[in-house]
Order: sequence, then structure tokens, then C-alpha cells
Amino acid sequence: MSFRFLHLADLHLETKFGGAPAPRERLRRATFEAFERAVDYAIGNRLHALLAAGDLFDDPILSVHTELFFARELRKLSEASVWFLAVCGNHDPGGAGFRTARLGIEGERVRFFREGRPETVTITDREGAAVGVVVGAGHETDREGTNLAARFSRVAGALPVVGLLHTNVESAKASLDHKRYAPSTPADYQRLDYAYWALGHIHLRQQAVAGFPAHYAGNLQGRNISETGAKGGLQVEAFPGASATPEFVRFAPVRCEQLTLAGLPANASSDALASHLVELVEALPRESDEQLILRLELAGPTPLARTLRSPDTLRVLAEEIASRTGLLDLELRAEKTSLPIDRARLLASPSVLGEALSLIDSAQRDDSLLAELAPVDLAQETAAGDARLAYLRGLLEELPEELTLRAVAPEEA
Amino acid sequence: MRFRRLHARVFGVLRDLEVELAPEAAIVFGSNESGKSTFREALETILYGFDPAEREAHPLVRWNPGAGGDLLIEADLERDLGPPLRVERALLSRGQLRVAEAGADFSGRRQGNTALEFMGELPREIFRSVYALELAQLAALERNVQARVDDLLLPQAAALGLRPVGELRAALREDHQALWRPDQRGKPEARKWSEQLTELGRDAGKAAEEERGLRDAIVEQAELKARLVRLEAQRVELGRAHEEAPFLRDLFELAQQRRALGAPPDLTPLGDDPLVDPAGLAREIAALTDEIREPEARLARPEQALDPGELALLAAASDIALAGATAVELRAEAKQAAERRSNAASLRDEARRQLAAVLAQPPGDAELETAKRVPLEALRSAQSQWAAAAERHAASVPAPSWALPVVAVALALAVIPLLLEPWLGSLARLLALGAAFSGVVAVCAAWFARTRREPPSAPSLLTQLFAGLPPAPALLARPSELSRYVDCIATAQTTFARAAGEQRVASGVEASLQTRGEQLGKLCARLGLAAEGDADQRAARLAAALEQAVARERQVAQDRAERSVAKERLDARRPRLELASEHHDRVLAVLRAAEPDAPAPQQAFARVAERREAAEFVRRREAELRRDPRYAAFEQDVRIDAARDPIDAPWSPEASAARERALVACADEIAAANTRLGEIANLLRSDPGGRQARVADRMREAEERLAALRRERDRLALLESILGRAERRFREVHQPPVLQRASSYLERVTRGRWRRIDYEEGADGGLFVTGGGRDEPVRVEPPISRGTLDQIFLCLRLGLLDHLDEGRERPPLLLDDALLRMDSPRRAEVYALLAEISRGRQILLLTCQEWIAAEAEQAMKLRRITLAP
Repeated sequence: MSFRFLHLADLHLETKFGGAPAPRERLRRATFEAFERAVDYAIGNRLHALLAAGDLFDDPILSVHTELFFARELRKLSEASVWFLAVCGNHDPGGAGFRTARLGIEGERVRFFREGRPETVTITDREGAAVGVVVGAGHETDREGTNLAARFSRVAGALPVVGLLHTNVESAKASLDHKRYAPSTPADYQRLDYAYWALGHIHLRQQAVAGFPAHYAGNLQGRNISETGAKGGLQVEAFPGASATPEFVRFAPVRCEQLTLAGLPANASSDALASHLVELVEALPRESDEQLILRLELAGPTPLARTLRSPDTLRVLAEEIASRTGLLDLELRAEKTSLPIDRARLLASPSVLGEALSLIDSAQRDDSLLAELAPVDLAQETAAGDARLAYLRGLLEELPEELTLRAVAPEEA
Repeated sequence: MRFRRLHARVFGVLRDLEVELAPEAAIVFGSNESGKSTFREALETILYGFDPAEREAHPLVRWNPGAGGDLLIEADLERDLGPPLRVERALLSRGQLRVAEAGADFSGRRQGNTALEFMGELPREIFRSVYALELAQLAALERNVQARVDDLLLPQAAALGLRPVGELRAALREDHQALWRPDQRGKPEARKWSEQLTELGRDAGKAAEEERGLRDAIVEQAELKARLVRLEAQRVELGRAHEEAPFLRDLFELAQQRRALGAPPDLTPLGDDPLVDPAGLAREIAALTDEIREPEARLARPEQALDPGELALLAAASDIALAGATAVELRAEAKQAAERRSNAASLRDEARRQLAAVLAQPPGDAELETAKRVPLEALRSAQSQWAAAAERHAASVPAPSWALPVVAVALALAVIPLLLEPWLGSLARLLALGAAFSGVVAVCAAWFARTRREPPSAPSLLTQLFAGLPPAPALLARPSELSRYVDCIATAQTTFARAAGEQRVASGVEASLQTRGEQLGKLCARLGLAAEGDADQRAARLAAALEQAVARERQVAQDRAERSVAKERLDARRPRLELASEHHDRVLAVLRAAEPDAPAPQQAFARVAERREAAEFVRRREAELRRDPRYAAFEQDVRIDAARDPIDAPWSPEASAARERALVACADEIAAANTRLGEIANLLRSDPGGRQARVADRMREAEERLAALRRERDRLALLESILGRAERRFREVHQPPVLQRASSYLERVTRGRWRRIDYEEGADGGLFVTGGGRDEPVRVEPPISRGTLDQIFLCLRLGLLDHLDEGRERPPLLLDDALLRMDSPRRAEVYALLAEISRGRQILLLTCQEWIAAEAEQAMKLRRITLAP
């Protein structure tokens, strides 16, 4: 008998979405739709359980509507005799005083792991026969600093064992981009003979420990342009005494992608540029039931660099391309575009512009010079030291293009 | 580089103007509109080409289109760093250039509208701004001293086609201050978004409040649902009580009526008979008594019967009827026989008359008998033969021989006059008519002669066949006459045959009549009736006797039927009478027992009937109520058996009204609860996140905008800072020699009153000048006098020229009324300075003031070039 389940993580229901109203509204609905799809999938495929590895909700203060939605979906699972097990993450900690602790939606086959101490739940099929064991531990606070994985121990028996945890595994890709909550190391997993580790926290789907069945499912729905690619869950079939291999199932109805386009047409026509971009977007692979949000970063020299600096122009162009390609939303960025002029000549010329470009170049390498050049009062509130320097370094990146555009008189360009 | 000659063949107002220019300096004098500015532009055009390069767009062409033609100028130039040369500029459709060595003619193809090669390092803008600055441009500088003069001091920027740094920095400053300002002054973009964030924060508070409201609504929803269950139960209970109340009232009323009835009358004595009105029974008894009285009387009368004679007559009724019918027939037959005999006689008479017409003498009876025997067929045959013989005889007689010639002559006589008519006139017609008539007469005469021939006589056979009945002699003359005789004999024989038939029939009838009469006589005798009289009389007698017997028989039958009916009636009514009487007696007994106090049976019956009717009503009502399934439940209800209406009776109007009020209140409460539940359902319907989420999104958007905006501000501010630093560095390298030269020129021009020009960085920086009796440098702007300002800028330009021209060609300096606002001593110093400078650079003074021109002419020993107005 195998233990078949769906591994989800980082649903982040009720995320706060920025950006334009229409796409953000769609994204909001998409996070809910993705979970609905996952639930329907689990029911439709007669899986034994749906495991959520933390951060079900983005905000510990859960709204009524989300709570009702969540309860409804869990009811569907219960009625279909599918288990739902979730660990609490840093966004939905289970400690007293947090909203998740007060969720009154637990039932016979619904279980939340709220405490940091691992708990074991035996999963049964529809007929009541045991098919697997899930060991889970949750975050009690929103800043869980303990290595929870180290608390897991062996589970005796002939059933496949699955660990469920919200953690930052240091060996995982992009672990540095995420807060180091419940940090763990590969050794924490390698010491145990679990059939599978269902992990959450890092939003990039990946195998967390090389050669070991510990996987991040990634978040269920990309919530912003940084969370790119197809999103969904991992379907797992675990057998006793063997490592399980997950299979990705897409649930996210909206996909975010980022592209950088450097080779812009030499033609100074907006229409030519639009057609070029339309071709590029249409060549992107896309599922029929999937909507796409795209950030397209234009870079390099173009006669349209000055035109593209106008937010209105970019907006009109983006709307035109989005309407022609059926994109849900297109963000066009042109900060890295530049005029097709001889930068070397500018740098070499005895001019203030050449001097300024030379200064920018030096400041990129010389932090003390950068600190000296920085305005005394920054609008952005940043901490002093490295953070401030990192911020200033980021500002420097697009300055040569900005300066050139501003300094060169239009007719000269 | 110096202009040695300028020849404006066609150039605006300058036409065929050829001037020789001194290598050091010259003064160009001209009143307004004499072409001073055109002269300056001609020099610039020689160096840089036409601007613009298209003829149609060039202002000098457009200004004076009527003059027509192309623009054409040429000049001889003496270079600092090269051989002298000749330059020709022509503006055909586009500007063109030809260059030749000094003293040589222009040859070869013209080049494009490009600047002279050695001027390439000095952009036209710089030339205009520094070398050929007009007074008006200088005035413009005063309004934007810092930016423009600073840019003048940074010539390389313009050389690269860059925007002035001062302008660039000002724009950057303006842009980033429009986004965010540390001093929070004005209305920067960030402030708007911060305010919006604050507003959104308030909205978030409201949304959170709504969220709390939603949670309260969920609690309220649960409470309302529980309350609805209670209310529904209450409504059902009230409804049931309300529905049962009429039933309970019915049961109660039934019990009341049952109690009011008391014990029922004892009807046992009546057995199976009903209790009826005794008066009705008495009436029925009287009627029955009356009904039996008549049949009793009828049965009391003796019964009637038929005697034997009547019985015999009735038995012979069929024979008598037959006899009557026979008599009638006999009478008809006798009458028929008499008629037939009469017919026979008439027929004989007829035959006699017919025969008399054809016989020779009137026939007697014997002849009549003879006629019957005449062989008619033979006679017809003989007559036919005779007729045939006669026809044969007639056919054998020819026409007279004279007839044809006579007729021919007559015709000729008739025709000839007609032919001669023209000569004879009407006489010819008369003659023709007469001849025709003669012909006709001749024809008639011939025909008559032929027909008057005698036929053959009757054959002898006929005479034999007449058998004693010879016909009249005339009938024997021709066969056709004899046929009348034959036909008459035939008719007579037929008539005789018919008369004989009639006679036979009459005889038969008469014999039958005789037989029937005898039979009737016998029947009369058998029935004891008189046999005299004829058959009719006997038959009449028999019929009358039979009629009497039949009448008698009818009487007897009626008597019998009446007696039978009377008996039946008696049999039917007597038992009923007995039963009715007995029933009446029992009814009276029952009524007496039931209503002993009643004055009469009638009243007793009325009372008992009333009681029974009430009891029946109660019984039916009870049966009706029993059919209701609730009966069993309420049968034993104590409230029903109460002697009178209990105060809390559920069927009382008060209780009913109270229940109705409660029901209405209950329904109202349910409706209100349902309405509220609907509202809550609407509030809770699927809306992920709800308003709180949307507000949060907007806050996120505002935060993102604010962050992006702040970043943009920092980026622009950093850029401005970098640009400032770059500018300072650049100035450190390039500016000091310019300012040093300018300061020395200023000190000389002002004779030491103003000593030094400085440039300071920063927001409060700019050009400063030291001197004028002040210890501190003062900003180069009013209230420094305008003349002094002119001197400062002139000195700056001179210093700048020295800096710019180091190591390359020195274009001439054109000064357009630059000394106009200077006082006389300083003008003298300027003239001296310019005369000194002119040894290294050609200087061209342009003025519209005669006194300036004269003064410069004298001070600098210049040659004046006067432009004609």
C-alpha cells in the first residue's frame, strides 16, 4: 500500500498585492483559485492527503472571507475523506495570540501542526486502513529561530513516513533571499530515513537537499513579478522503505515571467518596436488555461531611449502589446536603454559629462567615494552601513544612461 | 585668422559690397537697418556656412523674397596656422562652399555647406556666444547669470552638443525636488503619496472595523438561525393551536348540545315503525277507509253472465262475418251481371247498325247470326286479290297520243312571245300566258282521259263468300269500297264475340248468387233466426243478432273486471288500514309516554320530533367530527366537557385574536430575521479578502509607488550630486586661467577699482567680483552698474577667448556696441586694451553710434567701413 498525497506550500492566501488594480485583483483571485484547483485535484485523483508546508495565509490576521473560503475547501476534502495536514509557518504562526491558533476548522481528517514539537499523525484511506505517517512541526511565532528539523526523530513501523516542515534549508537555492526562519541543514534530514520531506518557506520549487527526498514545492501561485515560472504542487506516492520522487502539477492560473531584451531594433519607430516585442511575447510558451504577467526589461542602445523614458509612452506601448498578445499584464521597463551614441567619446572628452561618467564609474568601485557623493538626506529610509551602500550602488546602476539621456541635447541624439 | 576682404555679392541687404579689412581691427558703422547684423552674419557664414542650409528656409531669402536669386559671398582669409585662402559661399538650393588659394580663382566642384576645416574644433555656438556675442545676447545673460555664464565657461560641453550643465543640474534638482524634499516644503509627489497612505491607513481602520463587523455578523448569523428555529417552532405551535381552536369549539358545542338533549324518547313500542305525526296517521286511516268503501259496494252487486244463444252466436261470429261479406260480394256480382247483359245488348245493337250501313238491306236477327259465320279471312283474301287486279289494270292504260304535241306547241307559243317582247310589249306577255294556260289544260285533259277508264268487276268468289249477306251494290264497284264491308263484318264479329262473353259472365254470377242465398238461409235456421228474405236480409239479420251478442259479451267482461279491481283494492287496503290503525295506537302510546304533559298528541309529537331532530343533528355532527383524525386526541379533553365556556378556552375570540397577534408578531420576527440573514449572507458572500484586502492592496500599491518615487528621487539627487562634483572638478582644471585673465583685464579696464572675478560652487554660488571699495566679493548682478557689468562680461569673454584659442586658429572678435554703456575713461581703457589684443586677434567693432565710431576710429586708429542704409 502506498501513501499518495499532494505537497503544497506557501499558499499565502490574502497576500497584499501592489501594482495596477486589475492584475492585482486577478492575482488575488488566482491564489484562491489555485488552492481550489489543488483541492479538486486531490479529490479527483483520490489522494489520501493534502499536505501544506506552512504559510497558508500571508497575514496572521485572517479575513472572514478567507476563513470562510478555507473552511469550505477543507469541508470538501473532509467530505471526500481526504486528509488535510498543515504546519504553521512564519506568516501564519500557530502560537497563542495568532489568528491561526483560533481557527475553528479542524475536524476528523483536518490537522494543524502549531507547535514546534513534532507530532505524528497516521493517515488512513477511505476504508480506515493506515497508509502512511506524517510528522509535522509548526512555527509558534512569526520569527521562529529554532532548528525544528533537528527535533524530528525516527518513526518505527512499516508505513512510509513523511516529514512536514516550514524551514529555510541552508543548502537550498535562494535561501539567502528568504528570512532564516527555522533554519536547517542537509544533515538534519540525512540522519532520518523518511520517505519524503514536504518543505515550505522558499518559494522556488526545488530539491532542498541534493540526493535526498527533501523538496520545496514552491509557492502555489506566483504573487509578483519576481516569483516567476509555473507554480503548483508536488504529487507524491510514497512507499515504505523507499525515497519518494515527486511530480509537479501546475495549479496556478497566472504565471509571472521576466525577460530582458537587449537587441532592440535600430529603427526609431515605436510601431517597429511594438511589433518586435509582440513577436517576442507570442513566442513565449504558454498553457491554454494560463494567464501571463510579464515584465519586459528593455536594455541597450535605441533611438527610442528618450521616448521610452516617458512613463506614458511605456504604458501605452505596454497596453498595445498586452492587448495584441492577450497578456494579463505587461510591465515594460526601459531604464537600461540608452541612446546610440559613442560613450567612449563622451568619456574621453574634456566635458563635465565625461567627468561625471568617470565619477560614476569610480563610485561603482569605490564605496567611500559613493558615500561621499550620496546626498545627505535620502528619501528612502535605509539603515546605515552596508545596507545604505547597497542601496546607493543600486542607484548607480542606471545613472550613466540617465545622465547621457539628460545631458545630450535631443537634436544631437 | 583674419578677414582681409569680404565681398557680399548677394547677401540680404548687402549687394555687391566689397570691403577690405585691416588685419588688426576695423569699425563697421551703420545706422539701423543698414546691414550691420547682416555683415556679422556674413562673416559667420564664411566660417561655418549658411544656417539653415536650405535656401527656402534661410531668413535672408525669406525676408526679401522679391530680390530673388541665390546668396553669394566670398572672402579672403589670412590664417594664423596656415596659408591664406579664398572662400566662396553660395546658397543655391542648398549651401555650397568653394575654397581656393589666395590669388587663385575658384574652380572645381562646390562642396557642401560645411564649416571651414580649421573651425571644426570651435563649434558655431561657441563662436556666436563668445566671439560674436551681440548686445541683446549679453542682456539675456544677465537674466540667467549663473547658468549661462557658467556654460560659457565650459565650452567643451557645447562642443559635444550637450545641454548646459547648469541647466542640467537645475532640471535634475527640479525633478528630484518635485518627488521629495527633505525640508518638506512645497507639494512634492512623495508627500501626496504619503498623505494617500495616511488616508488609506484610515480606510484600513474602517475596513478592519468592517471585518470585525463581519465576525460579529457571523455570530449574529448563528444566533439568528437558532432564533429562527425557535420562532418557526413557535409559529407552528401557534398555527396548530389556531387551526385546532375551531375544532375544539365544535367539540365543545357538540358536548353542550348533547347535554341539552336529555334522554331520548322510548320508541320501543313502535318496533320497526317510525314515530310519525299521529294526525297524519289519522288522515291516512280515514283515506284508506274511504278507499275501501266503493269496492265493497261493487262486490255487493250480482255478477253478470251470457246465455246459450248468445254464446252460439258468438261462436258463429266468423261464419256470420263471412256471410255478411259474401252478401256484399253477391250484390256487387249481380249488379255486374246486369251490367254485362246490358252491354251485350248494346253491342248487338251496335253491330246491327254497322252492318246496316254496308248491307244491301237492314239486317234482322237471322242476318246477325249469319254475320257471325261469314269467313272473314277468305273474304279479306278475295278482296285483296280484286284490289291487285284493279291496280294492274290501271297501270296498263297509256296516256292519250295528242297530249305531248299539244303541250309542246303550248310551250312554244309561250316562249316565242316572250322572245318577241321588245317588239310586242305587253301583248307578248299576254300571248305567252295564254299559251301556257293552254298547255296546262292539255295536260289535265290527258290525265283525266287516262283515269276515266273502267276497272275490272268484282270476282265471283266474293259473292259466294257473302253467305247471304250481300253488301250494298255501291260497295261492289271498286275494291276499295268493298274493304269497308269487310272491315264492318270484322267489327261486327268482334262485337258479337264480346256480347257473348258478357252474357256468359252474367249467367255465372246469377248462379253463384243463388247458391249463397241458400247457405245463409241454413245458417239463420241453425241460429234460430228467421230464414225468410233474400241473402242480404238474412245476412243483415245474422249481423244484428251477432252485434247484440257481442255487446252483451262486453258487458259481462266489464262487470268481471270491475269486480276484480274492487277485490284487489280491498285486498290491498284492508291490511294497510289495519296496520295504520295499529301504528296510530302505538304512536299515541309512545307520545303519551314521552310527553305526558302535552295537551294533545299533536303537540306531543311536535315536541318529540323536535327532540329527535336535535338528536339527529348532534349525531350527524358527531359522526362528522369523528372523521377528523384529531377527534381521538381531543375526545377526552377536559375543556370540551366544561359546562360553559372556560375562561382560557382556545376558541374564545379573545384567545383567537391573541393568537393572531402572536402569529403576526412571530411572522414579522421571522421576516426580520430572514432579511438580516440575507444581509449577512451578502456580506459574507465570496469576496476574497474583502475590502480589507483591497485597501491593503492599495496601501501596498501606494507603498510601492512611494518607494519607487523615493528611489527615483535619490537616484536623481545622487546624479545631481555627481554632476556637481564633476563640474567642480572640471572647473578646477579648466576655469582658473580664464578667471585670472578676465580679472587682469577687468583691473586694467576699471583702473584697479575692480580687481578680481571669482566663481563659487553651491546653491548660493555664482560669479563674484571683488573691488569697488568693498572688502567682500559681491555677486555679479545689479546693483552693480550696467556699464560695469558690461565690462565684467567683456573681460570674461576676452579671458575665455585666450583660454579657448590656445594652440589653434584665433577667429576674429566681433563686438556689437559692447562699449555703449561704458563711461568715457573706461571706454578709453577698453580701446587701449582692444588695440593691444588686436595685434594677436582681429577685432571688428560694430556700432550704430556715430560718436562711438568716431571715438574708436581715433583711439584705435581704425579704418571705418560705413554701410549704406
